[in-house]
Amino acid sequence: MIAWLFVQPIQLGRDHLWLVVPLCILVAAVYKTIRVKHLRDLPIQIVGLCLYIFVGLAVLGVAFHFLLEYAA
Amino acid sequence: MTENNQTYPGRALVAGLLAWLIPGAGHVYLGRTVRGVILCVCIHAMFWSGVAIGGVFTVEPLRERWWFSVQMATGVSGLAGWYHQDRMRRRITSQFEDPQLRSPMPVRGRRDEWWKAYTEAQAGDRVALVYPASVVARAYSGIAGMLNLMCVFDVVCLGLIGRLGEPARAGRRKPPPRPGEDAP
Repeated sequence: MIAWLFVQPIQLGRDHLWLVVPLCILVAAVYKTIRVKHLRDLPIQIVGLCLYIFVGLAVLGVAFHFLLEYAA
Repeated sequence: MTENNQTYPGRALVAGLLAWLIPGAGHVYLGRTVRGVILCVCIHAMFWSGVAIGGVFTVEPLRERWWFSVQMATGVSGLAGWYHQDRMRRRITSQFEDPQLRSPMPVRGRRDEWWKAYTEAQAGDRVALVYPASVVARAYSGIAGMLNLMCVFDVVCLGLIGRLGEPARAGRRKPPPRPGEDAP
């Protein structure tokens, strides 16, 4: 089963957009691991950047929704 | 470990190569072990999550060249994914009914037929990567490669300026003694 996991693709449904959440967390973790000066600040910096990304994506999503609904 | 400012261009080159080959290894080489381990875990997790979602054809040098080029920035993981994909492509193409099409690369003059047979064989083996898994898988593995490029750039810069180890913690300094007070 583990071998086929890396051979055959997984069937994703409409809820595949939620996979952006772990992606954003990992991007924030890598970026802040490089950028942060002191490692003790790392967890709070990662949480901060995650929130920043999520809020940014939500704002973009709402903006595009209104653009498509009312302006197009 | 505290900061040690020694400029050594060869160190930057070795650190950059290590960082490309094994994500995080460049940071470990420069004395930033904890950062290196975090980077190694995160970048490998991201790349192999992508391959787990998309299967063997997540790494696809023939159709998705741009994604392939950034996937190769993950070093050994990307190369392993390419090797895995290449073996599967050779196995699939060796089973084509038309012997003239049995080539791992598109056959000159019969490219459309080769691509059609290749796509049908992928679907028959249930390894064809289609939307939405294709987007998610390539985003995960490609972004892992782009982030590793950032790590390579970081260690090359750190190596060139000779900054080794973690930055020293800023401790509380005692104020200088006032005039008339005895220095400790």
